[in-house]
Amino acid sequence: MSWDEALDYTAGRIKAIVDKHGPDVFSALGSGRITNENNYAVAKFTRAVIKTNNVDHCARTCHAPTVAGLAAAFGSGAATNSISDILEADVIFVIGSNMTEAHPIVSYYVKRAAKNGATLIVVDPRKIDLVRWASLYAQQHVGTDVAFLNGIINEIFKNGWQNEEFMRSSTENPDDIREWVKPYPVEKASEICGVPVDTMRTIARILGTAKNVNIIYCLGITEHTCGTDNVKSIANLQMVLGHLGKRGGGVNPLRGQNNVQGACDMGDLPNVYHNYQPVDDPHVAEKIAKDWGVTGLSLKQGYKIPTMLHKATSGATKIFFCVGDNTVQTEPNMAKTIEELKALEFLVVVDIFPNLTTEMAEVVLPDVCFNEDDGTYSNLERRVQRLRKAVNPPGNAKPTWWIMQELGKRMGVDLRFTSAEGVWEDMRRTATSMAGITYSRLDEIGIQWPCPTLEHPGTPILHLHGKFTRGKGLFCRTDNRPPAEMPDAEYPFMLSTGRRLWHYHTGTQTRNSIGLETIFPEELMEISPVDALRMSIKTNDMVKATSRRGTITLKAWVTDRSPEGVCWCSFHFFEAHANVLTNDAYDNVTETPEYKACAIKIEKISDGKPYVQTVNRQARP
Amino acid sequence: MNPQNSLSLIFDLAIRKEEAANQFYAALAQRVKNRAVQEIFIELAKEELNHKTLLTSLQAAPLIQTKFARVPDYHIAESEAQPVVTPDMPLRDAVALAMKNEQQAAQLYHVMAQATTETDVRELFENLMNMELGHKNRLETLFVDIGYPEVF
Repeated sequence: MSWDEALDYTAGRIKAIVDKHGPDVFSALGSGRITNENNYAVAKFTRAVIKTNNVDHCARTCHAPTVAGLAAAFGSGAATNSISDILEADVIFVIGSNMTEAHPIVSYYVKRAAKNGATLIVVDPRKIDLVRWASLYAQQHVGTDVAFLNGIINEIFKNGWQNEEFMRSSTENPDDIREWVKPYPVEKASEICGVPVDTMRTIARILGTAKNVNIIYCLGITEHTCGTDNVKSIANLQMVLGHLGKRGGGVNPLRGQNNVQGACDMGDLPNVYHNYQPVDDPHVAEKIAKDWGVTGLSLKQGYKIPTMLHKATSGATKIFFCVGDNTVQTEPNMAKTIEELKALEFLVVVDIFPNLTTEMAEVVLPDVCFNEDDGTYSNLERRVQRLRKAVNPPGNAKPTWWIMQELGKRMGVDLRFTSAEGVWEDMRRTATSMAGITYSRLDEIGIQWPCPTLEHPGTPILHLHGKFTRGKGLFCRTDNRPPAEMPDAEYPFMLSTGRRLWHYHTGTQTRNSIGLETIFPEELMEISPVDALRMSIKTNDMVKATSRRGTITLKAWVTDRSPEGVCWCSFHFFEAHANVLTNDAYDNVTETPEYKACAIKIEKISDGKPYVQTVNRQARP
Repeated sequence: MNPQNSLSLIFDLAIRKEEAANQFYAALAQRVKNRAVQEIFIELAKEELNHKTLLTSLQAAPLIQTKFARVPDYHIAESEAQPVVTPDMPLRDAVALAMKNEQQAAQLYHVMAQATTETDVRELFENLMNMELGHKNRLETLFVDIGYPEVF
């Protein structure tokens, strides 16, 4: 089929359905993998052509609680410091981040800092590889971060280690937090989170007496039904310590994908345009409509991903336009996701390789990938960086911005996209925090936003001198809430999920790499030695893992990475996929799924080949 | 008018501007509700008084002036709309208001420097412009820190 035929058909189908049922039956996804320009194109098409704000992307499934939590505390959800700042810290506090596998580049900085003498504290339910570099490791129970953090804060107050001056001058309600953590003396917090009292006291002392603490966290914090509360607790801790607005300190969430920050910045979100300009502000809508040369931009906030999908079964979502997102494998409770996608009238997928989602699509449009087009990415420290075309795309693959331009044209709206740089300039005309960033300025080195004018050099550190976006920092009350589904007699294990070093997310890219497939060719269920011994399970034995939502069959990996009662697997392999098991329970603020906790049972199916460890490798048996 | 009188009149003008700014910010501090906004207006009012003191001391010896260094002008004030003053105004708007005031002050001295043929007078106006640009730069730096939140 030619591009013209595919585009005519796609535009015709979209138009017919939207004309009949209204714009809100259309939902689109951008991606943390595609460029800023392509994300902007998806958002502009959704808003300017369809006239709905139903656009979202995979930040919903990972760091939305970061933005909600940090925005509540500071007024803004971005990381406060640069990656290189890690080297300036004397204490690095890492919680809920398996960074040597999920963020290996950042982990180099942390390991280097630890080797140079910084005290590294790692808090994680799994004994991850980073523990090897840690001065202190605390193994909390899955889903007990609020109790742990409140216990630490309580102990800091008990010993007078809080930064009283910072709290008084830079926060709005310093007396509240002291009261709110009173129900969490370390003894009680320890009972909930499982970290020994002495360890908690030591951590509190190290944090409370440090000159400069850099707090780093990731999805172990956010992917819980209490994800936003977890983030607020981290903000509380750092405001009690007062290491904000200076080099080496800060609260630094590790964004997951190469451009998930950029996808947010470009407005692939249901409530904001690019640069976080609210869709329900008439002045903003008027400014953008004027620049885009359109009328009737919706002032109504759109749907988040879970709502987009839930509404498919009732017919309220009929079109799903999915760019660079393997939704079948990404969302929790895969069987439910498949039912929701089946209920759609029209599923369009733009991607670079076939995957489970393309198999369900009526139309698949081939996208270009990394270095097959120009563009920009924004990394986790808000740094916009240039990407240059180095090779031609295979076959007839086209950039997303070109696809959106062609679809828009066929639906009567000229999006005015002629090149990647042209798309960036289109965005920049109505930008705020990125208005000063041009391709020519990015020629030699990236620029960190805010960079509001052409003269401005960019901003490496936010909240300098203790000034927060919202005025003064706000302590928020958080209380311990267990995960939505806890182990019980029928499903006695807690399953936690995540990423492996060797593969990337749903494997759309990395599973097409022969080298990576050779190194790590199949999913393994990590089981603690204690549990394995009890069930006579050895590494390489086949096991069946079952939750209330489905079953997968895979090999076991008996490892002390998992504590007793906890199993772990990734969502890279469609053959044995964690999201068959995971629970579609969501953070109550952001609708981020609880990927990190659900109840399963494990049954041994058969013996495997005896496993002989021949080499010591990181992150694999 | 002899040059000394001209310079003295310029200082009178500059001092009156600082007095007016001090009163403006002090009055705003009474009006706003947000404690952080209140504090920034009080801080700004104090700074304007400091500027007045500085200018008064310079007026006594106008030809032996402290030279204000030219700092980078990021033109952020120019890119922002004039904020509306309300009791509920956020910190962002308070800082935007102040940086726009500094922009207007710098612009006024720039125009006056362009309008004169007297070398001493022009240099004085340019020096005062640099002083205001310094204030503007400081406020723009603060504005960048708080003015572009990531919220969704």
